[in-house]
Amino acid sequence: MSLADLLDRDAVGIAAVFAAGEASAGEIAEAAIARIAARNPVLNAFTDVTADRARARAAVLDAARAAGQDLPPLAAAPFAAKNLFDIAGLPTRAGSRINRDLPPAARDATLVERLEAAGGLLLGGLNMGEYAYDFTGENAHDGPSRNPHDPTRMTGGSSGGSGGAVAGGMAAIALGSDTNGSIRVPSSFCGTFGLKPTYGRLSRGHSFPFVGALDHVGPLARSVRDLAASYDVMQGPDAADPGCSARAPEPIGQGFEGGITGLRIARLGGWFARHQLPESDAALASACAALGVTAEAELPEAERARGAAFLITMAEAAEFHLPRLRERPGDFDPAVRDRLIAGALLPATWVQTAQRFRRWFADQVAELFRHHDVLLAPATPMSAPPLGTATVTLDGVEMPLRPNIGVYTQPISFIGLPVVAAPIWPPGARLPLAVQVIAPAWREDLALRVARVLEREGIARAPVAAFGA
Amino acid sequence: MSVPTPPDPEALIAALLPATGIPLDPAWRAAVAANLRVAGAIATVLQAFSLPDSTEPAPVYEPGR
Repeated sequence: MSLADLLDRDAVGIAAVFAAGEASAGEIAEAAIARIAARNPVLNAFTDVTADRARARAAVLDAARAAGQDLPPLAAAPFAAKNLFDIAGLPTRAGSRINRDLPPAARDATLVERLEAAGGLLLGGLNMGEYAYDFTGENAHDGPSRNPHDPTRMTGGSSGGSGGAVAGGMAAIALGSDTNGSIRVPSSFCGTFGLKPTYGRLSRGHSFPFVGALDHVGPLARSVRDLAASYDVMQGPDAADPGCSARAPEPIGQGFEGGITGLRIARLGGWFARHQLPESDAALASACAALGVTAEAELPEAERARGAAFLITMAEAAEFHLPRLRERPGDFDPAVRDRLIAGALLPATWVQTAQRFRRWFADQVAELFRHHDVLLAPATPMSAPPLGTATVTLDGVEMPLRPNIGVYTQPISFIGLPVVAAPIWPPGARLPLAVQVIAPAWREDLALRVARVLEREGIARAPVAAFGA
Repeated sequence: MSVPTPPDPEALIAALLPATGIPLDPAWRAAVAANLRVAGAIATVLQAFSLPDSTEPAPVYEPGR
């Protein structure tokens, strides 16, 4: 097995090879650094590469293995973080020009710290849409992240570099954030597994916020077991994040292998069936066929839920960025700036109605989950569009593309439900498209079990893209 | 009951922008107005839904943290 082949394995697989003594952490780090050097000029996933840090961490792991010490679960697995997570020594740019004038972060984000403590080799920071206000993965300052399965296409965003790094084989695990869909959309376009956990489950400590009421963080990876393994080591309360739950960790372990016998699974109709393009139809149909799902359920008022998330996002983000809008409006990505300025002008009652609607909607969906254990919906209406695409035709009507990429993800994150994005490759498809496996609050285990069955059946998979180099 | 209509974005900009202290380049105005038009349409649909008086808002706040 070559080191390049090794990098195409998932994180748990790489850790097993390291633990078995078949490769050193130093060799794995060098292989990952070399692969980034070869592929990143095309894919533009990394904005900073922390090669020396990865080498230093690898040396520690090699010494630990030589000394016969117990190795952590993700030992020597390459990982990277969306550049809104603090990485000690780097300014946390959050996809912006403005933030790179900040002093370097004094410490790591909580999740970076926890993944590294679990043996991960941090390779660097990842490209993203400016201030996470994005579904495309395009960035006005750093250039677009490019889709490893077709570099002329979008990665999706805003965690675009996270999708590109994982599908491009440059990192086994990438941290992303998801406010309205920013883990699930790049998982869909790039064909990676993604976990957006329950709101408050994983700490956002020492990361740059977007919308506090809606921000989630989580992993993108190439297997369900990697989602579970990384999720397990990242759980736990954190005083640095006021939204992080005080619940004790509830590790999945191997629980994702529990199967689906007895689970009541339904596909979402209504809003989630209205705009469908052939590719999202095909992806959802493949998943439902594999799982034997015939039941259909409806999230009541999903369109209004999406709209309420849209308004809360505009208003909260605008208030958060107000000092920067006053001082440096010309330094924003124009598309982001114009949305933020509009957000600063919303009447307060619009936003307060949205917050009250959130409570109502959460109650309705909790009632729905009395009759179902897991709900399925496409993650995106379309597979990855070509870079620069401005419009899409949905339901026969031409609409702006950007906001409509998230029509299926927004109503779900609005009420903080856990979701696994499972990348589906319907027969004959050249590009993947993910299905959202949606579970009740705090039941990530159910979503991971269903995603694992799709993976085991070969319906969901996250291969590293074929690449010349 | 009178039904609200989506507000005129230009009127919102004229009324509220001065209070924000944001310097708006005239070249950005049309795009800001377009975003406000979308938000206004969404808000109109949202507020047409009758929420029970018992429904409280759902922001994030936990006393003692």
